[in-house]
Amino acid sequence: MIERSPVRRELREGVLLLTIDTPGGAVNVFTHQAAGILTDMLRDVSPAAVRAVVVRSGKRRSFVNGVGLMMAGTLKSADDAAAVTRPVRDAYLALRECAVPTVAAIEGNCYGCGVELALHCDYRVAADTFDTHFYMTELADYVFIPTFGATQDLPRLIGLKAATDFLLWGARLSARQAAELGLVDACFQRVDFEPRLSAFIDSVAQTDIAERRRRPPCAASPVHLVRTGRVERERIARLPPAYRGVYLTCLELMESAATKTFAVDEDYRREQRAAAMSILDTPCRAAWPFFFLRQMATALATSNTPRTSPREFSFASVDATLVELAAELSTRCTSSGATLQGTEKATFVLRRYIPEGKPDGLQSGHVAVSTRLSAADVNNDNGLILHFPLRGLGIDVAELASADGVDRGSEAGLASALGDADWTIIVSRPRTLFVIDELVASWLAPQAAYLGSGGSPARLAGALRSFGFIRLAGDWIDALDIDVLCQLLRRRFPELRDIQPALRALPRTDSALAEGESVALDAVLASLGAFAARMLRQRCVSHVAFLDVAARDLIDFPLLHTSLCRHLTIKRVGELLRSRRTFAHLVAEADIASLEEFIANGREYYVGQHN
Amino acid sequence: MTPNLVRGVVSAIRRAGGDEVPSQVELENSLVLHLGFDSMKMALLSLSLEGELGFPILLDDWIASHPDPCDLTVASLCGYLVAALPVEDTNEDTKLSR
Repeated sequence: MIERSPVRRELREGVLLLTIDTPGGAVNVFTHQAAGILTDMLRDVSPAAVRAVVVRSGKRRSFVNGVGLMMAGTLKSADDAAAVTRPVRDAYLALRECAVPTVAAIEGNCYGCGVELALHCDYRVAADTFDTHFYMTELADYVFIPTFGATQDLPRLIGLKAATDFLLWGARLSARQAAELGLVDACFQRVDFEPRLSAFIDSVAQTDIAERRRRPPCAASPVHLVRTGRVERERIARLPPAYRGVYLTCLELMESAATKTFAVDEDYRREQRAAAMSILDTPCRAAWPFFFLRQMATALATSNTPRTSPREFSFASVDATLVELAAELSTRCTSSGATLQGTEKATFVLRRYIPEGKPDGLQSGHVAVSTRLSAADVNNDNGLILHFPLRGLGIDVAELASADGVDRGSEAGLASALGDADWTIIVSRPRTLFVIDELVASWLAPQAAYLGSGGSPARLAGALRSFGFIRLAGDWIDALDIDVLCQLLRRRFPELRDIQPALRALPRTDSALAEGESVALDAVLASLGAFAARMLRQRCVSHVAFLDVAARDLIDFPLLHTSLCRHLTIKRVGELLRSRRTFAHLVAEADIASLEEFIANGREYYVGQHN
Repeated sequence: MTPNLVRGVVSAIRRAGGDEVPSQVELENSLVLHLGFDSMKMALLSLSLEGELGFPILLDDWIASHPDPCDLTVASLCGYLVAALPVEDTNEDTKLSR
């Protein structure tokens, strides 16, 4: 066994560099071992020998991505929480109480407890690179309250409104946005990151640390705080009932912190108790396994990336409509400044995807880009197709579709670059429609059928909300080509009539709610279940996890049920089919046949799936 | 728990754990304490077990059944798989043993 410390220590010109580099993985997970070592190293710091401490990452694209969700999964009581989280809390306390100024030098993903680690430092600087972004995973992805100080430190640092956007509602921040909000103190280009970091350290090394740590909260008038609290409560009231308690508790913790000059131990303990209760609560218990599904999909999308493949990418296009997109992708998928030494930059040429294009395939290094929903069969002869039809809605989910036989190296390299830039990637081998378009159609068709047959939008909204859906499909309609959408739905559900008015009546996220209509919900679940069964049967995706991630990120399939395919067990699909008479008019006949085939097959989507 | 199952599980652990996994893996080894597994590697273990077993497999129920992540041993994982897999898939003549 190769023993390697997850934290390296180096003293350079009076600056103690602590480099987190947890062994064996592409990203840093702040394990108990790493926490214990960091604590010991910080305890030894003496102002006589050290003028500043810098915490940074040894991973190229990850500052710290998490603390390890196994901890959340194994907690059995609130008392366990204190014991289980102690090593990490001790490390963060050691940072907060360090005798000299501490600086987090952030390059790469900074997620969840990585953000909290940075918050416990006196200063934060970030690299302005495509893969440096900030995201609080806890509530947005796992429905629990952060455990290591974010509810206390964020509102004071960036104000209550920005903190709620970031922590409650899952806003993702680039390094520049983080600097604009005050989450980081400075943002440097990668090309001169090191000299500017050194200059920054020199400038803060003489700071009066006691003063720095008592800095006043981000200016906000009491009226502003009250108004923000009211707006957030209204938003929380529109969440599914199961979520409201945890969101409200989190908001209350943040409101209390927003007015204080600094947090005391009791504030952090209060957060810790609330966090433990939320981890033990039903929504978190259902949500945390989704982590594994997402990681599996990511690993599958980027597997077979040749070790020699380029790590830097650029995008170009001669098509006027794609020039802007090429520029954006280049910004998001390539580090600012010079290409790193020892790596070669690969260029992808973007071409517009033309379904009826000549069947001569694409040249190597060319990618066909498809930005709209399509009701036509996918032309696989285009080779590698990047399809992201909901980007206009702020949904960064891209389908990387290819024909069998396409070079997996290019596919995985592109998936890797886009994934690092925070896109969700669905790797597919579409047989007829794109997988994303199939999902959109399967999501909307039963809703349109329900509304087209005289159903109430408020009762549809009530049914979806009670199941746990937060975002509703009515939000999409203005941004999509309704004629293409109608054609797409008709392909999935030929019996569907009067689609356009039904689509325009779809409830929006802020629509009025009424008591849910279970028939509508059953039809939606049956349609989605048939989508999953069909995609796997036709081998349009290589793994069920791609479908779960697509359902989560595109249609907001509720974490309350872990995932689409985790929810749709043989038992549940059997129950749906037994009540098919009530909703059969709302789904295509072929969908019922797909569900029956799934039952007949007798295999759950996942082994170990509980009913 | 058949020898083939244990061999398959150890092989999957090696693929997911990489260089951190020692040359000798014992049934009583904790994946967290002795084999260097974190939550990210557990996700990779799901995939490498799938390669051995031929089914997508989730480990969250196994993880949640232990009060302390340090108790997640190789033996415990084998026991979980025996209970979770359809009966025919733990027999000697399944993919795992070929």
